[in-house]
Amino acid sequence: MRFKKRGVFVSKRAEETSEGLSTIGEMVFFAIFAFLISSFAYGVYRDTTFQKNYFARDIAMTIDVLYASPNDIIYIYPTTPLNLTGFSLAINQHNVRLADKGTNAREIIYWYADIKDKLIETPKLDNLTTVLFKKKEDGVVEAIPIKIREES
Amino acid sequence: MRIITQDKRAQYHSTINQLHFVMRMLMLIFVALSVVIIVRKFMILSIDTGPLESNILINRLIYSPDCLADRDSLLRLRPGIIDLERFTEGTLNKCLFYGDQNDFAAGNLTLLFLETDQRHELLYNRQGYLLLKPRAGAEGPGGARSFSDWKYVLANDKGTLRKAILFIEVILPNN
Repeated sequence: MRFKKRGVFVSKRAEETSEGLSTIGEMVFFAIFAFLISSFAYGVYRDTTFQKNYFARDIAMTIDVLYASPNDIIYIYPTTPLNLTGFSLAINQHNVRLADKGTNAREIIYWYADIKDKLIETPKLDNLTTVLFKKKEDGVVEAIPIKIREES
Repeated sequence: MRIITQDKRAQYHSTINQLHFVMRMLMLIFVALSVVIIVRKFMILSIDTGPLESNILINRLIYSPDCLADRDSLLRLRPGIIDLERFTEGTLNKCLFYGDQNDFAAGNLTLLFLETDQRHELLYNRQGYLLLKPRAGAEGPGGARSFSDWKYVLANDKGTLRKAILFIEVILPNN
């Protein structure tokens, strides 16, 4: 007895089944890929790393500029278009540290140069609106955090 | 004889189908990779602030009252004039203080007096400079970048103002 071979398949039904399965496989692949890309894009959208990086560098360089100023100066850190509300901020140990509010996870640190014996020591604070920097006549720079007024 | 002909035709169609399937899979992989590359290209997580930082440090060295800037008898600052008595490594290491272990910046300052061609050279963060200088220009973590600038200045040499050029090289590690 001889079979009518259809390439690698012995029947048309087998070939159709194989094609159907490969199509389903492709659809599953597309679905998984679309899900992974969407979740990745959503993760990037929710991620605050870039904002923290931006703020940490910008505040550190602001401090360096204030130290470079020949005279005393008061500078209110601008909070548009981004603001510090969602972050906790600490300025001490020659570092600007920014983390998501209420957590230390994925803290971004950037450094600035102090003057020896005139260090900035601002503890970690949440619920900030902005920061007021004040350079006094003796060259000391103070970072005064301005907090959101809490409703009583 | 007829069976053999049908067999060959079937094999031909099957091979075409398989080739078509391979092409589709390759196209699928190409599209998927393209999407991943495009997403990664538009995702920015870091900012290059090196040139700006070096500029700020250079200005700080010259204009900050705690660095090299000169003061008059009323203690007013005289921007653009360098006090030669303050032109020491100790002053620089105090006025740009990153902590006892400074891995963040280093520099080389050369003051060239225009009238005498005399040179005063000093290093900011000597240990860091000697470590970072050979790595300047190297890409990636562990490497560093070098920024250079020069400015015409006056140097206050015990009451005499001398014309000079201050050459400044700042080296910042890659981050």
